[in-house]
Amino acid sequence: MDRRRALGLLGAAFVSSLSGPACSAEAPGMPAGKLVELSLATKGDLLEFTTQSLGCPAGARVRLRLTNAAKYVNFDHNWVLMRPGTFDAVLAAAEQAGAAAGWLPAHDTAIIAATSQAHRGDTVSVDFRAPPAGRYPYACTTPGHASSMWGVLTVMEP
Amino acid sequence: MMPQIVIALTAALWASAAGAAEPALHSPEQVKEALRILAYVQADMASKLPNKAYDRLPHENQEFQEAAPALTDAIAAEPAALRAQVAQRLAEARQKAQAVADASPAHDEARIAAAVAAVDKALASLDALFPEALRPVAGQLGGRPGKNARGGPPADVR
Repeated sequence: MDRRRALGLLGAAFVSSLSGPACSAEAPGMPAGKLVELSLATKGDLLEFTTQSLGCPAGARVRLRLTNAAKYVNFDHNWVLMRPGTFDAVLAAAEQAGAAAGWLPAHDTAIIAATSQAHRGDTVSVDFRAPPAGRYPYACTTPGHASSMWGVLTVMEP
Repeated sequence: MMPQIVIALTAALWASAAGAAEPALHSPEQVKEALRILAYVQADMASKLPNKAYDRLPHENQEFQEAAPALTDAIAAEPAALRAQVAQRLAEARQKAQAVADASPAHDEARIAAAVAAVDKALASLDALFPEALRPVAGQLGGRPGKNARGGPPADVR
């Protein structure tokens, strides 16, 4: 990945912008209102996200985009937001779920939101409603990745 | 005046000698990233041992093989002598990674652990060809360590 693209992705990761009607696609059942768009990417082929810190207001509609910016390695990555205190349990459940399930346990109440797996060069997204104010861990649940591919979503009072 | 000239000449000679000992690379950041990619893949490979996820090791080997060209590309503009040295040690590392995949079906814990350790050793030999500042540092892949130094988010959200 060239330096300019890397810097662009890095910059995008720190931007959480409030946008209006331009973002028309909505998750079913999602309340009307402004959409908070969050973006992050992998640091090229490294097992790292471009940011370990994201933020949004409580109750907001959120769209998170994850870009797999790898150039060489066919890593698969996802972004999984989980309730505080469940990090290790979710990772264990993800490993149990297996590759066929995208390393994502089904119907796990500890998981607030999750993207599908992003293959090399892909961008995936997930829409969700921000949980109550607090700090929530996120990670890539592909086995072995979460020790370095993690971060914290800080949800603020609106 | 004379002592100042002597000091200046000595400093110039010392700087020249230091430069000769460790010539500047054309793309040091690219080399640093390539070495980190390989280190991450090796760490990912090693992470399969504690829970005996041996069936994933061929996949980890595949990722290692995919990561190798990142280093070849990073040194493309370097002198032929360095490229030859790197090619030799990189080929050795790739062979060791392949040996991990070859050992995995038998689920022989000791044999697999030895094979994974051999990849680590081969990578250390490869890293040694480059300035220390560019080499991956164990425990510093992925930023701030979490619970039990395994990586991951801080304890208050984990």
